[in-house]
Amino acid sequence: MSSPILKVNELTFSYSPSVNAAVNKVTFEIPPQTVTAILGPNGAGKTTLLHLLLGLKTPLTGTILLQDKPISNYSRHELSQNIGLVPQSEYIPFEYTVLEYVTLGRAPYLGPLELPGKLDTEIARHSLNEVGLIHLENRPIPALSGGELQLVLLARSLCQKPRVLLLDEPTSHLDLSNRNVTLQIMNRLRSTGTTIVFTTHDPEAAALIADKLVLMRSGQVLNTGSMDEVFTADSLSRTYGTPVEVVRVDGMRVVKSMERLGG
Amino acid sequence: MDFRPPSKLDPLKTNKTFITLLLLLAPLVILLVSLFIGRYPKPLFMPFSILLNDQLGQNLVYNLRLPRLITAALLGMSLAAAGGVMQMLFRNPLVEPGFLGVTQGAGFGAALSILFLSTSPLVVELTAASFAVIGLVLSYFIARRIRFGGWVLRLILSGIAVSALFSAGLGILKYMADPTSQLPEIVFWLLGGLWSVTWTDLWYILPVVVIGLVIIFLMRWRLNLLSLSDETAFSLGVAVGRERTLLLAASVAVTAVVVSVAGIVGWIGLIIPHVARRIAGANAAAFIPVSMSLGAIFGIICDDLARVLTTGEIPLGIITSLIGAAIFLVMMTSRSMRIAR
Amino acid sequence: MKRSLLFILVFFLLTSMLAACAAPAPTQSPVLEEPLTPEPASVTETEAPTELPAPEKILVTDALGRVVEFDQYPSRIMIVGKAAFMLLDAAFLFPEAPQRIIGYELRSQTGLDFINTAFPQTSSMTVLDTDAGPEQIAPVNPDLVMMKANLKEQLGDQVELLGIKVIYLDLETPEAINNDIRTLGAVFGNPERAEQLVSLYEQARTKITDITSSIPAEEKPSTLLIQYSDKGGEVAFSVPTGSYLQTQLVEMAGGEPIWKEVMGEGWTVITLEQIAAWNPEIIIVIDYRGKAMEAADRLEVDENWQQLDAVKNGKLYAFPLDFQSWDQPDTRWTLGLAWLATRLQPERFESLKMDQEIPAFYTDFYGLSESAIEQYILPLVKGDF
Repeated sequence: MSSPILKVNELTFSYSPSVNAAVNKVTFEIPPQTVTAILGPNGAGKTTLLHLLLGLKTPLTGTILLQDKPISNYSRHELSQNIGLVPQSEYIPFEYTVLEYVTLGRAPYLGPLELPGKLDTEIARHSLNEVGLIHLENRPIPALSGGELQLVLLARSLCQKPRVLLLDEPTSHLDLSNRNVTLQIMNRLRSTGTTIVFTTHDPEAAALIADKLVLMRSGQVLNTGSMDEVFTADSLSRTYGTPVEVVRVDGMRVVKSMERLGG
Repeated sequence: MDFRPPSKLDPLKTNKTFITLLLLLAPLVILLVSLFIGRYPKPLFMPFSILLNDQLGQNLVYNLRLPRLITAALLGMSLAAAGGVMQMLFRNPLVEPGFLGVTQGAGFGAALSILFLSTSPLVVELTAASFAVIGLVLSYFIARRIRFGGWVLRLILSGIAVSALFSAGLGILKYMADPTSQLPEIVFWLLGGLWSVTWTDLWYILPVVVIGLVIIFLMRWRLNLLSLSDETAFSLGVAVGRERTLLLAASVAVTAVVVSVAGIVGWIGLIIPHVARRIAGANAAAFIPVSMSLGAIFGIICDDLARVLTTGEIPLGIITSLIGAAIFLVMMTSRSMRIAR
Repeated sequence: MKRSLLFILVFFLLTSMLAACAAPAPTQSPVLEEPLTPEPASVTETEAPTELPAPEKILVTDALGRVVEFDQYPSRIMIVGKAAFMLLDAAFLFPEAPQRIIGYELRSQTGLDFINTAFPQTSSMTVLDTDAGPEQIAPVNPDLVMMKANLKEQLGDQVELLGIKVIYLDLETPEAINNDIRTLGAVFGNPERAEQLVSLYEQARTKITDITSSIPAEEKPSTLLIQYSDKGGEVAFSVPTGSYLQTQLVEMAGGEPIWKEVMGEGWTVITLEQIAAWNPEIIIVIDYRGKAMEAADRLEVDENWQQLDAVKNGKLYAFPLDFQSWDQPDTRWTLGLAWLATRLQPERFESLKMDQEIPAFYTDFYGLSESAIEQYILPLVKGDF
C-alpha cells in the first residue's frame, strides 16, 4: 500500500485544562483513496478529532501530517484545497438558492476579492447533478427537506474537490434511500481518488463502506485496523461498553446487541 | 412551509449590464432631480433657468443642496450596506448597524458635547463619532470576557448591555440638560437631520465612507461564507476572525461617521437590506450593491421630504422611521399572504 | 474582479465630478441680487426711500466682532433661529423695523406672537416654522439675516453660503443688550434711537440699583428663584447658574440669591429636599410656557411645600409675564427687575407701581398707543403683583 496521506501522532486536545482531554494521545494513519470510519459512542471525541484534522482546532501536543507535511505549515488557502468538511448539520439563516449555496464550495479556488465565475457555476451544477439534486438548483435552501439539505452540504464539498473529505455523521439523519445515495457517492469518490474520513456512532454504516476503522471511546483510540481485524464482537463491545455480537447476513456484517431491554 | 415557485426573479442573470447600469444611474438621476427640489423660489420644483441667472439659486444648489444630497446618498448607502453586512455577520436578519452600542454611543457623545463642550456641529460630530467607536470597542472587549456562548451571542449580549449603559447615560444627560436651550437641541440631534451639512462636513466623512464602502463592496461575496458556521467557513479557507473583523470595522466606521453628521437616523439599515434581498435574492454578491443603490435613493428621497414638506426642517430620522416602518409592514403582510397561499 | 474595479472607478469619478461642481461659486456683483419675488419687494421699495441718504459704505459691527459691509441699508431683514423672539423684540424697539423686517421664525415660548399682535401693519410678514434652515429662508429672499451669536456654525455659516449677509446678536446680559441695540441702530441707520434706548435702559436700571446698592446684607431676604417644568406629569425644579441674568436680577433688586452655591452649567435640576434645606424667605417661580401662576397655585396647596417658610408667609410668587416671561435677557428685563424690587424690598419700593411701569415701558420702548396697550398687552399680563 502507498504511503499514508494523513498521519496522526500522539494527538492530544482539551477544551480546558480542568477537564479530561477530549482527544487523548491519538495515533493512526490513513492510506490514500480509502474510506475510514471513526466509530464510537456519543461523546467519544469523534467530532473534536475531525476538527483537529481540519485544522480548525490546534492540538495541545502531537502532530498531523498531510502528505508528510504538518498541516500547520499549510496556508489556510492550501489547506482548504486539500481538506473539505461536511458538517453534521448547518443552520443557514438566509434564503440562498441551492445553486448559490453549493457554489460557496468554490471559495478555496477564488482570491479574497474574487466572485465565482461561469466555470465555478458549472462545477457547482455538476456537483449538484452528482448528488441527484440538479432539479432543485433554484429552490431556496429553507424549502429543502432534511435529507435534501444533507445532500446539498455534500454537493458543496464536492465542488471544493478536496483530496481528503471529512464527513461528520453523514448518515445519521437520513432515511434509507438518502443514506444509500450518500454511501454511493462516497464509494464513487473513493474510486476517483478521494480519501474519505467520516465519523459515525452507527457500526452498520461503517460496515457498509469503510476500508478501515478507528474505534474511539472517551477520547482514546481503542483499536485501529482493517474491517476484518477490528470489526469484531470483542472490540465493538469494548467501544460501546455493552456486549454485542457480529453476525453475517448475506455477506454483510450486522451488529446485534446482546443486552435485552427491560432485562 | 414555503411554496413559492422555485425560480424567482434573478436580475443579475436576466440582464447583468442593464441592472448594473440601473443601479448606478437611478441614484444619480434622483440626486440630480433632487437638486431642483426645495422651497426656493417656491415649494417643490425650482425651474432650471434659475441655475443660469439667479445668484441665490446657484448658491443654494452648489453650496447647500449638493453637499447635502451627496451626504444623504452616502448616509443611505452606508447604513444600508452596513446593515446588510451586520445581518450576514451575525447570521440574524434583524440586526441593524446601530448595533453593538454604536448608535447609542453616538447619541450619548452628542448630548455630552451639547451639554459640556460646544454645540458647534463639528465638535458634536467629533464627540459623537468617538463615542460610537468607544461603544463598539467596549462591546468587543466585554464580549471577549463573557464566559459562555458562541462569539455571535456574546457580541449581541454585550452590544445590548453597552447600548443600555449609553442610553441610561443619555437619560441622565437629558435630565441634566437645560430644558429651554440644551434639551431641544439634544432631542433635535437625536432625531437626525442633514440641515447643517456643508462641503466641509462632506470632505470630513468622505474618505472613511468611501474606503469602508469599497471594502464592503469588494468583499461582498465573502459575506456569504461568513454567514456559515465557523467550522464550514474555516473548511472553505476563510480566515473567519480576520475577515469578520475587517468587515465589521468597515461597517461600524461608515455608520459612526454618517451618524455623527446626520444624527440618529433609524430603519434604513434594517429595512433596505430586506428590500434588496427581496429584489436580488439572499446572495450577498447580488444584494449588497442593490442595497447600496436603494439606500442612496431612500436617503435622498427622505431628505427631499425633510426639506420640502414644511417651512421648518422636519427631522430626517422621523421621516426614515415613518417610511421604513410602513415599508416593513407592507412587506411583512404581503409575505404572510404568499405563504398562506 | 474587472467589474468591481470598474464600479470603484465610476464611484470615484462621480464623487470627484460632484466635488468639482462645488468649487466656490464666483462672488457676484450685487447687480444680480435683485429680489426674485417682486410683490413684497415693491412694497418695501416704496417706503424705503424715506430713509436718510446712505453714506458710501455702511459698516456694522456685530456681537461676534465681525464687521459686515452694506452698500445700502438692508431692507429685507429676517430674524431666525433659537430665541428669535428676543431678537425680534429688540429689533422692534426701532421704528424702522415694521418696514424692513420681512420675515421671522416663530420661536415664542408661550406660543403668543407679540410682533403680529402689537404691530398689525406687519401681517404680511413671512412666518417660518421652527427649525427653519437655509432652504426655508432662501424663498423669502432676504438681504440680511439676524440670529443669536451661538448659531454661527449651525445656521449662520450656511446662510452666508447662499450669499446672504448675516449679523449676530448676543442678548445674554443687560450690557450685551445695550451693545446689540447699538448694532441694530447701525443696521437701521438710526443710531440716535439706539442711544436713546440705551439711556432708557440705564435709567430703568439705576432707578432700582441706586436704592438697593445701599441696603445692608442682613436686610436682603434670602431668595430662591426656580424654573418649574412639568413634562409628562414629571415635575422638576431647576435653578439658573450664577452668570445668568436671572441671578443678576435678584441681586440688583436687593435679594440674596440662595442658590448661588449650586455648581452647574445653564439650569441645574434641584430636589425639594434641597429647597427645604435652604428654606428661603422668598420663592419665585418661573414657567416659560406662560403657566407660572398655575404652577405657583399648585405649589401653594402642596402639603410638602406648605412646610416651607416662604409658603407659610405667603411669599411664593409667580414671576410675571405677558407675551414672554420677564426674567430673561429679552427687552422686558427692566420690567422683571422692577417687579422683583417690589417683591424683595416692598418697603423701599412702595412708590413703584407696576400698573404704571408696564404702560410706561410699552410707550417709551415700543411707542405703542394707550389704546393698543390696553387692548393687546394688559390682558396678557399675569403674575403675583
